[in-house]
Amino acid sequence: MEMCHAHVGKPDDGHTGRSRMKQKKEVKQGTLALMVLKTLDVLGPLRGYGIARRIEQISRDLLFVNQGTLYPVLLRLEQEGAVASAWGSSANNRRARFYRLTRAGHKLLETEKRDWEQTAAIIERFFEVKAEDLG
Amino acid sequence: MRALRRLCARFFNFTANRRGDERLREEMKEHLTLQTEEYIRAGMSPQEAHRQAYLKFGAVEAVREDIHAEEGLPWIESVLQDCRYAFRGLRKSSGFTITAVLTLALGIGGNVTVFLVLYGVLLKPLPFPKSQQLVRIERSYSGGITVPAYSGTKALFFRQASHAFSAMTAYDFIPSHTNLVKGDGAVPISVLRVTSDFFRVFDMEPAMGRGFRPEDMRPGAPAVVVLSDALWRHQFGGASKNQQFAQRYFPNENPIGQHILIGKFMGPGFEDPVREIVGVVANVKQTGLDQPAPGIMYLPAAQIPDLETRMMNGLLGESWVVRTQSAHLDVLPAIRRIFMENAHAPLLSVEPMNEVISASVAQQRFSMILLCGFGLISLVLGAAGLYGVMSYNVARQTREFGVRMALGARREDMAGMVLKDAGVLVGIGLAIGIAASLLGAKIIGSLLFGVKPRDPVTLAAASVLLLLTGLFAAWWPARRAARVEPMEALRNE
Repeated sequence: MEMCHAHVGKPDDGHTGRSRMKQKKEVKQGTLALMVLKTLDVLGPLRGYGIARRIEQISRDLLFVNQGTLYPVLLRLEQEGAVASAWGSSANNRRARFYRLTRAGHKLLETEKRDWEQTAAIIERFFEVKAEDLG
Repeated sequence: MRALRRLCARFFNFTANRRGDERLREEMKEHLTLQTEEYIRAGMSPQEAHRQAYLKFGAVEAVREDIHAEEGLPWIESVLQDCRYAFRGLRKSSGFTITAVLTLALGIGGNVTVFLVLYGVLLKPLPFPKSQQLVRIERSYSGGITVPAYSGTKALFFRQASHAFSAMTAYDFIPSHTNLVKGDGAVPISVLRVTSDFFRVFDMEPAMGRGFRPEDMRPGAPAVVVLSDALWRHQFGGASKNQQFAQRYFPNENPIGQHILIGKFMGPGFEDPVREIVGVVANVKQTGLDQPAPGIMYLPAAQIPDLETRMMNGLLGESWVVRTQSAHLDVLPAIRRIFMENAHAPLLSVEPMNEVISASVAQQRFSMILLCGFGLISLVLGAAGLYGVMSYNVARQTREFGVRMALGARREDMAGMVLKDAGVLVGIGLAIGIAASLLGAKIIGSLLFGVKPRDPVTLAAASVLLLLTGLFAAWWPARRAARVEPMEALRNE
């Protein structure tokens, strides 16, 4: 993941604090992007609000501190060509921006998913290992 | 690939100055409305629902900042902003700025010019491959010319006699003239009479056809000729850029196997047999590095074409060039001895080809060294001027630095500000200086060989060097700015 500009416009709290903050956010952004892709994959075109709600429901409100953080992630995915967006009208006839997964997005989701599963499997194996297994 | 795509999108947004502010505002509004409605449905009062929705969304301004950071190229934007600021600051002390920019431009102009010249004269490879292996031997005219210096057997002997040679050739160092018959008339043409190994010694691979062979040197061998590329293009209309000027001698473009006639109309005794073109070779600057390569025709020395050559035959071989197997100068005495024993004439000189070549540009090199000196002086002057302006600016801005630091700016930021100021100055100076030097190089280009007035690599190298010099000159003032003590600076007021 590319470096993000989390520190822009915030008071400088020294180097260690800044880098820790950045790290935390980076991890979250990567995971969040994966969740957005998967959500769009399963449910088809959605508004930003719809995506946020769905992720909240599935993660049982554990994930989002602020719903607003979703929008930079969406912009980024759009710049990368993984999602596309267009104006449409919602059920109650209001103008709304709908996001959908592109072909490149599908591919990205597949690779990210594989990577994620691989990492998870490796970590799991490490947790399951006991001292006697190694002896 | 994805990163590239993203960079493109960001670059586009940056250049088009496109910001999705409107879109974002609309999206956020929609989001908040939906969230509020949902809370109301869940039983909250409209006011409370509104409040909770905003809380849940988080700081709208922070999100907007984040979006903006992702959207364009914020770091370039901030650099541009700093430059604009520096520009305004420099305008305040315009007298100093103009002086500094002019000295810099002078330094830059002088240096770019010198760089261009240096590239042309020093960095460019010499025209012959492995020219350090070539040694030129010149025979003096004054010795009796009763014994022909060239004969096939003698050349063979020379080669066998010395293991130091890998090839040797004799040729007229200065081309003679004849004419080329074209239709009813004739055009003057330069001719070089050479021995069979000529192209091998100078490592001139024929571009078409072949070079000369030992068989061509035997008396009675079929009359042949090799053309230089320039001659072929100009006189025979080979694939040339200025087709309309090329008088087409042969309708088809392959000259190999065609026949030509030279020496006609020059009086009795100059008749030459019809010759077959057997090869085309690359151009060589025969008459000195500072002269353009002439179109030239190579004839086998043994095939005496005309009376002039027959008269001159005793002198043929006034120039010999051998290709040695090593580049060491200790072969020179050996070569001298072998030639003394066999040439039956005093030798004028035995010198490495590189020296011959550099002698042909000696005068130009002197003016180049002079120019280098001027260039260096102007560079130093420019750097001193920049140092002066930056020092003055730092002294003037001491209070500003103090305020900024008191408000929490870091010392690195202060040094950075000064360096950016200097960068702007150097940038303006570069623009003026390069424009001036392109003009200058055009004028100098006519005095020097191989100077391309618009060589991009040279221009880039010179610019980088000057930028570094500029930043070096601004380094001390920048350090001084970083050392400003906020308390002292403010107390001075």
